Amino acid sequence: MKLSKKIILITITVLFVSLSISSAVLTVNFKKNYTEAILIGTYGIGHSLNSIVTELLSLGLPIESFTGMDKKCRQLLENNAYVSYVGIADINGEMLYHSDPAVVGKVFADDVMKRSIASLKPLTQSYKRFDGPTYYDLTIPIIDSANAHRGLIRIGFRTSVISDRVLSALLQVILIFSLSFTAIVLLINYFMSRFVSRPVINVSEHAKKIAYGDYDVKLAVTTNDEVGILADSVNQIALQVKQKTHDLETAKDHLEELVDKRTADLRAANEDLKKFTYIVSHDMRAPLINIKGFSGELRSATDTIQSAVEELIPFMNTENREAVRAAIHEDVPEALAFIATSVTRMDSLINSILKLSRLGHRDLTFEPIDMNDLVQNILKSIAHQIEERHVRVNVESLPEVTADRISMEHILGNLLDNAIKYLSQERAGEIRIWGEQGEKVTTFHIQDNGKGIAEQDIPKIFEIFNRLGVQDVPGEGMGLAYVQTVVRRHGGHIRWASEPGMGTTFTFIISKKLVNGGTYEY
Amino acid sequence: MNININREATILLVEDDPGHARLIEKNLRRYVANEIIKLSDGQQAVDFLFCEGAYAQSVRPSPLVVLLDLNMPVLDGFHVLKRMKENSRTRRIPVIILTSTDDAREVSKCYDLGCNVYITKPVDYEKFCDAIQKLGLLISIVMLPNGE
Repeated sequence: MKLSKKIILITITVLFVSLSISSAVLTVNFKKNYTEAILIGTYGIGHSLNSIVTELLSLGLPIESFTGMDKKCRQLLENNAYVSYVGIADINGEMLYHSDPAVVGKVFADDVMKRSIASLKPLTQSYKRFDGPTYYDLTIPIIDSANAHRGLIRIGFRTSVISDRVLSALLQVILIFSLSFTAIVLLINYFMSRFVSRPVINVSEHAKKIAYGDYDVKLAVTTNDEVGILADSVNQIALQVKQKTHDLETAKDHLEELVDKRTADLRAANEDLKKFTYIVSHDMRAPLINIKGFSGELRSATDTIQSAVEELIPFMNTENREAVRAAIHEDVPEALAFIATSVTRMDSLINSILKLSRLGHRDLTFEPIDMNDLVQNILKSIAHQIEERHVRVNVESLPEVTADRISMEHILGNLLDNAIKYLSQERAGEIRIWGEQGEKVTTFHIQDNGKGIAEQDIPKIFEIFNRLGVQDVPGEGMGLAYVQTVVRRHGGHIRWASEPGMGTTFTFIISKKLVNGGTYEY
Repeated sequence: MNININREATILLVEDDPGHARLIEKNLRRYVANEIIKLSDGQQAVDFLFCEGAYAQSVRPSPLVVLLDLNMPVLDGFHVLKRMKENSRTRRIPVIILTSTDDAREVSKCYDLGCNVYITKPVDYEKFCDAIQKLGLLISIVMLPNGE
């Protein structure tokens, strides 16, 4: 409901109630006053008749033998239209004179007449007459000059005389009430709309414009009232919002710029790192080829020298003989052997870095994969290890995933391989694999009862080249670094829980929203 | 084991690492007796092939087999390969990529550009020798276009 309507409704209600009450009070008062006035008028009539009667009585005329009294009564009736009857009765209740000739001579003994006779003062009574309507009856006692109570005058009129008059007065009041009410309501409505509704609507429309982003609207503040204050506030708000919006835009632009720059920096750094890894692995290979190649050449040259020197040794002195023999047969081959193994090791490390770098580059193809099949195939390929170490592998029903097949083989292959490699010698190996389908991710767990991971090794397990614990197991220490890279490229991560001497559980999750060509590159 | 069928072909070895160049030459010599010209970067190779710059006055020998490394200063192997395959005078000269890179994308890129054979230099010297032996065999049996 509109505010102006509400105010009008409240005003109307208040106005209606107050006007109704005042009208009712007015009507009641009117009735009282009118009744009094009529009674006074009637009393006047009665009094004038009484003075005629007492005049005649003082002349010594008997009350029952006045002439023309009936006519006088009728005259009074004619002159005062509201009066219904005028009669004069003696102290015994016999009607001596009356406006109605039919009643003359009748003796009344009803309660009204009894009270009339008994009263020595004027008396007003209302009673229901035999003919139906209710009457007001005014009794004036006739008391002669000797102070004797000689009879009474009764003047009656219908109560409907008053009620009709009151009704018409009431109708008038209602009419005036309605007219003034309507006029007031219209006036209020006009003023409400002119000075409250319209300005408020105006302000609200401007506020709406501001809400839709038009901050340049300006309200003309014309009044000094609440609406004026409101309009002024709205103008202030518009100004503030404009300023704030501008600030926000600037901040946003700045932030976007910053984010873009950071993203670009990060991307560049990532690219640099990739290039670096790639270049390092390739450029480091070139000198290795030379070291290997020329040590190979050196070896064949040494062979040639060896046989030549062998012939010369008998001609050397004893001291030199042993030294040369040692150099040719032991020192040189030993040096060459060390060079060869070191270069081989270096080459394998470089290959590992290269492999890791390539895993970060390789285009992944996401396809639906039955993980149960995939795990069974991996288990088949390491069946001899499982057999050899008497490992019990328990694979629960695994959820299907949409992922890169090679990556999944890589992850599970590595984790299973590790689980078997690091099993404890002290107890029968047990490996459990299970998984669950989440809303956004798929989770897999690989649990073993192996050696576990020592606390000091915790930060190192995903580091490249880091191999943990007693080095009694072959490997380059790259497995988990690869696995982590690949899992991340599947929008996921890998976690683990371990207790030294009890076993380890690796848990990895991969996203369920992998799209070919998506940006999951790390 | 000299299988010198392509005796008259000149081998142009473009290799920035003098050690590699020496090792390749040394090993190749065991199997082929062809003349070997060594150049140490891509720019020299282009100048030599198109008789430009330092080689403006010389005549390019024919027939020719090019052994090309990829990662080289000044101008890399890809550029040399591209220039050669774009030009009608050089596009039929066989190009054998001989490099330490075995990245799949680089291999594809070289074949896309029109290289004839891609060989990776192994770090292990025995394998390296094997590879060069096979290369020698390849050079000796390959049919070469004349007059280009």
